[in-house]
Amino acid sequence: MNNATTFSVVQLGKYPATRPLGQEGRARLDDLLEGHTNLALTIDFTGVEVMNISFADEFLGKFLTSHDFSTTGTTVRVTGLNADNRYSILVCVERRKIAVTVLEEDGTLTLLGDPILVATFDAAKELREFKASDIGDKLHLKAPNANNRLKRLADAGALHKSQVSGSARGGKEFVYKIVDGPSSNARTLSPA
Amino acid sequence: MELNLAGAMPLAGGAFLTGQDPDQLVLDATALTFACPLDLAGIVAWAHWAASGALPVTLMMPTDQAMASYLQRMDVLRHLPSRPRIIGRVPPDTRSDQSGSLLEVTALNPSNVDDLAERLGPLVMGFYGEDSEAGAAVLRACGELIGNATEHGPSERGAFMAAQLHTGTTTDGPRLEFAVCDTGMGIMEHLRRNPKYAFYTQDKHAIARATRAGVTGVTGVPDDKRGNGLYDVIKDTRRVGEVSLRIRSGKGEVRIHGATNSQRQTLHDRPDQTAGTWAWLTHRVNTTSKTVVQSRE
Repeated sequence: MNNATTFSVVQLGKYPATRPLGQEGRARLDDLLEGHTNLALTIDFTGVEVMNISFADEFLGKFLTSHDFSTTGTTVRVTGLNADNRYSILVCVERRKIAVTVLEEDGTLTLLGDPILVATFDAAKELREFKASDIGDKLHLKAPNANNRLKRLADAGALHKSQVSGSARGGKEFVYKIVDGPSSNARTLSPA
Repeated sequence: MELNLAGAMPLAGGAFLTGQDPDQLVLDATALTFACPLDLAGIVAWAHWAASGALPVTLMMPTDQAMASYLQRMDVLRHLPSRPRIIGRVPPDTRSDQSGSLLEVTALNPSNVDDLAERLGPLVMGFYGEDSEAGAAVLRACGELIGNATEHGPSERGAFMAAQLHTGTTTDGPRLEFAVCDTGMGIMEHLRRNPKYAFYTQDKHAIARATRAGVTGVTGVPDDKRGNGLYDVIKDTRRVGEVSLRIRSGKGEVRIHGATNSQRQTLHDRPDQTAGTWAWLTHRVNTTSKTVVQSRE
């Protein structure tokens, strides 16, 4: 069962612009994750009018690259993006060759980042809950390729990953799951 | 030493520090007729540079009373270092609310930069009105410049910024001018901290290099994806209008002019040595823009 929590970025300002402020925000996010597992984290940009790319990189880009979210079962998504802030995040994830899930206004999930991962994520959305072999079949991928893509998505917090107990194939096998859009029971967690 | 501030926009033009009297700094603004944000922030930055070296600072006020009032209105006098000698009439500090069109000279440091970004936001976005894409691009650019000034250029003397938003009714079209003058180490010295760029010996070449993507003096974290600030300033703002960016540091200056389909850059040597880094951004909105300013016209 996932704990849902939301971090509201506007607490840092409506016009966040500097790397030191991004570092401060990232430290707050890190505190929020500390000691928690299976967390569905939503980073909400509602109320942020304009942020520049340096802030976005220091706050979100470095946050996404400094964690392997799959090890703690954490999923991450951003929401409340206006067109300008979406641009800043897109530049940041493209530069870092990473991906981030966006919870859109209509409740759907999209992925910003590497087009290959975007295509994989779109296929994952159709499957909802699946194993690597399922997505391999759907996208006509060999197992190592499918595993690699899914690992990148899970590491980025776009998919929830859990190990299958008693796998028929022997060795480790994982189930991947899309964590749904709006969560009505989201709450703010205190740092552990 | 003397800085002769004559005519219109002298610090943006040919004015430079001359060294006839090394025991004091005289800022001679008697013949000043028009000051842009770079002049305003630059006067204060030079004065603080001199004061930090224990040089007495003298400001000769403009004989043009409107110009003198403008220096007063834009808080130039208020931000001079303590106990400057002021020659000439100091006009009374009467001011109307111009918060939608100008930002007076403001001291910038690491502890207030985020608050000032919050103040700049409504000013810039209000100017661009419905054209929020252009407003956001220019605001991001201003944010990068003040971030640079406080992160890479901090010194005890601080940094100073000013902005003026022109409606274009009396000048050549609506435009935003923003200047930030820091008194820190300068671009070349900062870049040279990175062994990759330690070979630079001329400021103008170091500045030009700093405008490219992924060029930073910050080291220690490999593949840190830093060093895109100035590159983003130009790329972002030329998408939504015509931009002119001048960056002055040490004995060099780089001027960049960009528009949607073009960009050119020129490198210049300067006869004086700017203590720190000065950036002057001018952005003209596209003729197709739907800014509030244009709709008023």
